[in-house]
Amino acid sequence: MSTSKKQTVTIALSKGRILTETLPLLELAELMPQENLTTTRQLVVDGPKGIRFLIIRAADVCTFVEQGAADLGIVGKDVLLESRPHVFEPLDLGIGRCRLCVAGPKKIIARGKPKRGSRIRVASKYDHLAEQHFLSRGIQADIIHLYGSMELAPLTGMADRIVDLVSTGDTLKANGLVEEETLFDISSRLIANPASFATRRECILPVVEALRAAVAAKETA
Amino acid sequence: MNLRPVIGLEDVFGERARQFRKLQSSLLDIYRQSGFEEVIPPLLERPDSLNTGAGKFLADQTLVFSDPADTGLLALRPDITPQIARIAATRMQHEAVLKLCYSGQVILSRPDARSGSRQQWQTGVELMGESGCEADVEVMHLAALSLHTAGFNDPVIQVGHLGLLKAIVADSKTPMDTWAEILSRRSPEDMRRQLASESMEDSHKQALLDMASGLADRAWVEKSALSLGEEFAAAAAEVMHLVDEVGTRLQGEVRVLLDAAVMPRFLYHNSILFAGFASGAAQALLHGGRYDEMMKQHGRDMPATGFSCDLWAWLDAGARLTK
Repeated sequence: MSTSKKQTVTIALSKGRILTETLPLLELAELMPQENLTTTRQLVVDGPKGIRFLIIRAADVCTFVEQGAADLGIVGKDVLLESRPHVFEPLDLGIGRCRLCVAGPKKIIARGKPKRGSRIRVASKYDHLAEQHFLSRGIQADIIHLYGSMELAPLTGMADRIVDLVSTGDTLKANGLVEEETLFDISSRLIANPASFATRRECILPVVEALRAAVAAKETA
Repeated sequence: MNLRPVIGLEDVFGERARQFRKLQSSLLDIYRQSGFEEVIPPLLERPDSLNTGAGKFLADQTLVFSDPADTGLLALRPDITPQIARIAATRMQHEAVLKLCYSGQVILSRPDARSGSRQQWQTGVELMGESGCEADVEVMHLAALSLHTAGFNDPVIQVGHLGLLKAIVADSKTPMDTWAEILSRRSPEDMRRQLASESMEDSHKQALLDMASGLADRAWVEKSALSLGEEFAAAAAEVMHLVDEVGTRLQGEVRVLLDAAVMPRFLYHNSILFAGFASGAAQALLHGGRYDEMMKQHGRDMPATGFSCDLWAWLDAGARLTK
């Protein structure tokens, strides 16, 4: 492996809401990419100080970091809880804040929580978290895995409840659903490959610390 | 008839099989030349003998089934080290010092990493009956030599000591594996949340936060030894002495770094522990440490240290024989 590759720090980012909130932090940390990430079609973008950004799908960030294709990445805590990758989580960026909730149609939620020993159908893309949650309360949950538009599942009678991210609650309200319970408070985390942390600590740690300072500066501002 | 392969298991042939055998014999050669005798324990064990002192983590990874011939339960080994402990406590109980090596299949009930395999070819050494730094140095030297032989560049060994964490959380209500889990993710924010419900001293809380922030290097351990109590100071002295010794003796061979937040792969490692990394490999390539406590529970009170790696993971990480 060449020296230049060793000194490059690769950061995996995903487009979308998290990126919009990440950019001000990168700016504060003086780690701005050399191109506009929201419009560029390039998948690899250079940054300052030997940093390189990969622009990938949110669900793939964990994989790139776990497999060592990226040293660092920014990903929602929901993904970390669900897939439990072998990565470090050195920093809570305090962005992309939302909650992982159980929600359902008003009529069903009004009847109260499902009884111990009952069987319900739950639509979610968080199969593991949803199953664990109901299992620990003695409820048999048939998990119906969906990739999006969870709200449709109870509306069409396919599921009794959903387990999904809620930020403002507007989408739930617009579709006649109400929250029943919050499972986790979610925010975006900086994640790191453990081997990069061990073998190239001197390159990785300054980036983590610059972002930590940026988060602190943003919070006091 | 269902002829599909079982999930997480594979058949190996062709070039991969050849590479595997070459790697295996090169490593076993090194161990034999260093005076380690090969042992070949069976694939099956009694569940008790696998779980003695190994904690619930190992039990969770063990496939257990009933033996039609014996009406008892049998387990497929998920780890060979407990078998070596059993052998040391039974068949070899009259030998004061044991230097043993092994290379065999283990099966996990769930894959170790995402998309990973349930089968590993665990290969390693165990040095029993010698306490103190010398034995650990010898084992780490073999670990470094193994990494070099397999063609991994710039190896790094991270050394920690579970006694450091144990001393800090001695008065806490939270179970040990919760602390170990948070530290293995190096998440300072989750640590802060966990600490919110704890009533331990502020200096202890700060120490845990530093560890989770990745700041617990040698200088930190040295400084903390002055303020975190006798038990911590004892573990600190032991691990600092070892890191200095290994650092000097293995200079040019491997970089040795102290990190108090290194956590064991299996919780039976009770004091010194280490993990080996190399440039270009995405995860730790080997794990090792002391497990004197497990030996005691096997009925033979003797010091024991060792390390092991998974040869399939090494091939996947690009192991290439240099000779």
